[in-house]
Amino acid sequence: MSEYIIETKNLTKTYDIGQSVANLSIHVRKGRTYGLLGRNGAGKTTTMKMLLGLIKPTDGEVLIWGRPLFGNEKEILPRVGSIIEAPGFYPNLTATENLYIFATLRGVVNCHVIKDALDIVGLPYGDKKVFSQYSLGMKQRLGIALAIMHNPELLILDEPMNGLDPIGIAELRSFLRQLCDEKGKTILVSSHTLSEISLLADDIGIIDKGILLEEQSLAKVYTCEDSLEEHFKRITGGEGIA
Amino acid sequence: MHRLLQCEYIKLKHSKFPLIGMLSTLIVPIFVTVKAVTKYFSDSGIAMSLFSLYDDSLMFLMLLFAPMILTIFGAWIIGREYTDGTLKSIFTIPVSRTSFLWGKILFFAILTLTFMLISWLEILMSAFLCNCFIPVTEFTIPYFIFFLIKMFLGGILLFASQTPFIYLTIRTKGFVTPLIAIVAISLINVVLSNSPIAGFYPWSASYLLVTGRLSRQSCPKEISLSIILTICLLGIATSMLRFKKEEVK
Ligand SMILES: Nc1ncnc2c1ncn2[C@@H]1O[C@H](COP(=O)(O)OP(=O)(O)OP(=O)(O)O)[C@@H](O)[C@H]1O
Ligand SMILES: [Mg+2]
Repeated sequence: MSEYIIETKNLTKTYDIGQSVANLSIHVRKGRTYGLLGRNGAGKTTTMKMLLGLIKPTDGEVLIWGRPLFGNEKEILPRVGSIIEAPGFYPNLTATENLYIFATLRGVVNCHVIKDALDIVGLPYGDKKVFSQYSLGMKQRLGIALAIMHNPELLILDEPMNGLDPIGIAELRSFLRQLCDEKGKTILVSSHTLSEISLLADDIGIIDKGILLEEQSLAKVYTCEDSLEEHFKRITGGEGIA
Repeated sequence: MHRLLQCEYIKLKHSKFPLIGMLSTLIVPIFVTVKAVTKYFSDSGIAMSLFSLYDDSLMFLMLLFAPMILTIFGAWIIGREYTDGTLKSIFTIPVSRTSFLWGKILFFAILTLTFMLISWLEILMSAFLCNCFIPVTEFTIPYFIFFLIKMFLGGILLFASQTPFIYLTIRTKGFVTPLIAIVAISLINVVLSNSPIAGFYPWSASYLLVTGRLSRQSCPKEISLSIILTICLLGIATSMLRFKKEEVK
């Protein structure tokens, strides 16, 4: 058994228009929060989609819990919760009905599970409002509820703070930290907001134009740099993001 | 599989789709009834018969109307998963792409048969209403059942010849292309349905097979059926292959 929960080996995705992810090798350790950083178009979402089997890598390998994802999706994916870009739900259904559908597909229909998940993200259970009437932040909250509903051991979250208000962000941050610290869950999170990642992550990986520039623990970054933003600017040689 | 079908059913909640679908089934029955009533009151005074009501309905439904409506239904139940961005949540559960698509195809088959059975019932009710005012001949139970079976068989053949449009929906992730294709194909139906080669054209052949008019053409039943079956399997196979390698955007 590998010491890494997620390990990619030379992961590459090439589209007709060019490489989105190139030779990416990242390592996510158990019980840690790993922040994937990169500017717009750096390849964060593409990487996460490959980690979830939504798109096929052009080259390279994805190992989750030491096993190749390809061919083991049935064993691996039920233990993973995820948000990729904007959450997708059925617009004509309420939050509860939406979660009910996905719970049914998982084969675990349990009102408590749905209620608890909605509780955690602060959405009312049994509300009449349908998804299309939700605000941006409420949609995002429902996406988080879906990701955590089945109590997964690994979370892959693509910009989970998107659209949340400051209090929502703080709540989500402390919830994720709690999952990590108290329940030993592993979290891979991408974000634009460096200040957010600096409060949340244990380890960071910085990618630019699909290439991994650096991977190390956040504690180490702080030994030689004042802020994550300074560090990010220096590593990517850019103006920074957010 | 029953879980997938159950979910398809839940997805219709609070949606206008069932209402619009119901209304769309009324169009042909109302149309053929109005046509028959006008004929009765015209100078020629042709009597209204249950047989001709159903026979006309089958023609309009199978050659023109149902293929278009069903293409829209199919494009809606499949296309919405793309536009709503729900596939990424479904595939990561994981639900296998093959069983997901089978669920959709099965649900589409159920919709097709329901469409035909509701139409059957509506024609029956319209004949019953008319019978209160003007005589409707052949208004007997054996005829009800005879046409129930015909409408059901028609539904099965319609479904079989519709699978290529499922492929087009998956391929283009929208309903514009499949809709244009089915309009073109239905117009050819209108031109072809009386010609001797209609039996080789699966969309006309379905109608000819159900109404027993194929015997008058020069194409053997077996060949027509095999062509329809081939189209059906081809539609399903290409849809599966395409859907399996689909990258979730
Ligand atoms: N389906 C696609 N076809 C072609 N190119 C694509 C496709 N999806 C993504 N790309 C390209 O891959 C690169 C990485 O995109 P990706 O969405 O992974 O970036 P990201 O790091 O998530 O950016 P953001 O911070 O804006 O979300 C971009 O240059 C993008 O144009
Ligand atoms: Mg992204």
